[in-house]
Amino acid sequence: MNNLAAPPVPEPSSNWMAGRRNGLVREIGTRHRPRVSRRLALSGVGALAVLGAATVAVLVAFAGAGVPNAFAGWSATPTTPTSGETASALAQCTSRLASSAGGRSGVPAGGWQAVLTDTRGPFTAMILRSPGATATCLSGPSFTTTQANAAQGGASQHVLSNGSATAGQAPAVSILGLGGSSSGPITQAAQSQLTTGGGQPYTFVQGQVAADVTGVTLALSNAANVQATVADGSFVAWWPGHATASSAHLTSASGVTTQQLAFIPLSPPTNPTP
Amino acid sequence: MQAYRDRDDGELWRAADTDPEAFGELFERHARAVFAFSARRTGDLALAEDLTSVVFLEAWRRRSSVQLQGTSALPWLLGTANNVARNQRRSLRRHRAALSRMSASVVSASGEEEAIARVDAQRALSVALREIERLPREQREAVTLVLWSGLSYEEAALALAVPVGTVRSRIARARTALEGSLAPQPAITKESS
Repeated sequence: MNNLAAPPVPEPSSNWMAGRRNGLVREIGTRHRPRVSRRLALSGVGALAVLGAATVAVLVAFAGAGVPNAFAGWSATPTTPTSGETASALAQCTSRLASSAGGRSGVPAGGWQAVLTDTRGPFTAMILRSPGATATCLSGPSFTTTQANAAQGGASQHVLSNGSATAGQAPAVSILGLGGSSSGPITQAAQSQLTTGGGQPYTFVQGQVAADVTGVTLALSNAANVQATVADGSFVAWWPGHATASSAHLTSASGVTTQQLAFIPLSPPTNPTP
Repeated sequence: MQAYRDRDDGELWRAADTDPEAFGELFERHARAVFAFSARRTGDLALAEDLTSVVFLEAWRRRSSVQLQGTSALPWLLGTANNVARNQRRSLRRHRAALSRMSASVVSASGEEEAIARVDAQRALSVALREIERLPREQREAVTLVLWSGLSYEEAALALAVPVGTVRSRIARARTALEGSLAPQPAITKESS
């Protein structure tokens, strides 16, 4: 045998391959299982992401109590909603929006229509519109969170409201504005980092893309990928945790391109309005 | 599963954070190469089986701190396999409980023929390893990655975390050191430009 020629090694048997593969998947699946929070007192905190100027935005977050893992069943790719899931989420969202309407917020009490719906297991994220206002909503088995943006005069401000007034982390809000000067199919996007029941954080991204874009997959800072729901030039995605979107892989008829995302952080409001 | 087969290693690597089956597909793709490398690195087939599992457990443990370069995870996995083989006692100790559970998943169905083939392969491995044993460890590692596992010089550099020129010189020195007893070398290295 030639000294530097590779010595033959027998192929592992198919039994060995299947057994070790299944063992590996089971092993990491066990380690991957999200931790269960025993906290019962939940808080809702939120943040406002303002897209464009001259808007007043109000965020109201509500969290249910007694649910150990708020994000159980979440999926990195959108799923098909079960029967009645979307209608139920829409009812939850519009109810929350109605309760946060009026006053200086300028949020309309009614007239909301869902323009984009993203389903991930038992969770439904929505972008809604009403005359003069837009909103996002995330509804799950244990909480419903809404963010409303209402055009009002020439001012641009955001107001935070804690749904249950219990302790929660300060929200972080970051906005990406790429319109016009930057090249790339994503013309604008907003990223919000929020915390819901039991101090469990999640990150929400919404934005606008060129009309010919049919798919958006966000690459996160933790090396995970999350596929967004895309329709009519808008996209929305969210995921548990603090990881942020660092780039987007965009699919259109001409192929797949990658766009780097640079979010500009905004300071969270210092005096939340209850 | 078709959905996984269409995705490159980088996509599977990132998806593994929330989808263990994506990591299972990575195992399916690269476990044979990792096993062959581990066997040639250690000269012990049984040990190589356990080290292969350890490599993937290590890869999963470190998945969030590793950004894959290129489209294949193999260079990084073989680099990990090299480190695991170098520190095999510590690596095996760290994953002992998991290995025990994973071994229980394997149904042994080897017959007499397979057992004989395994003994033959084990013997051939021992002979081959004896021949390169007199090389310094760095050269042996380079030979195992480039000449025995088919990595390009660039991929081996990635696996070993050294410059490409270092890999080239280690291979060249290994060839020179063994020159006296060598037959003419076939061109079996894969170079990527």
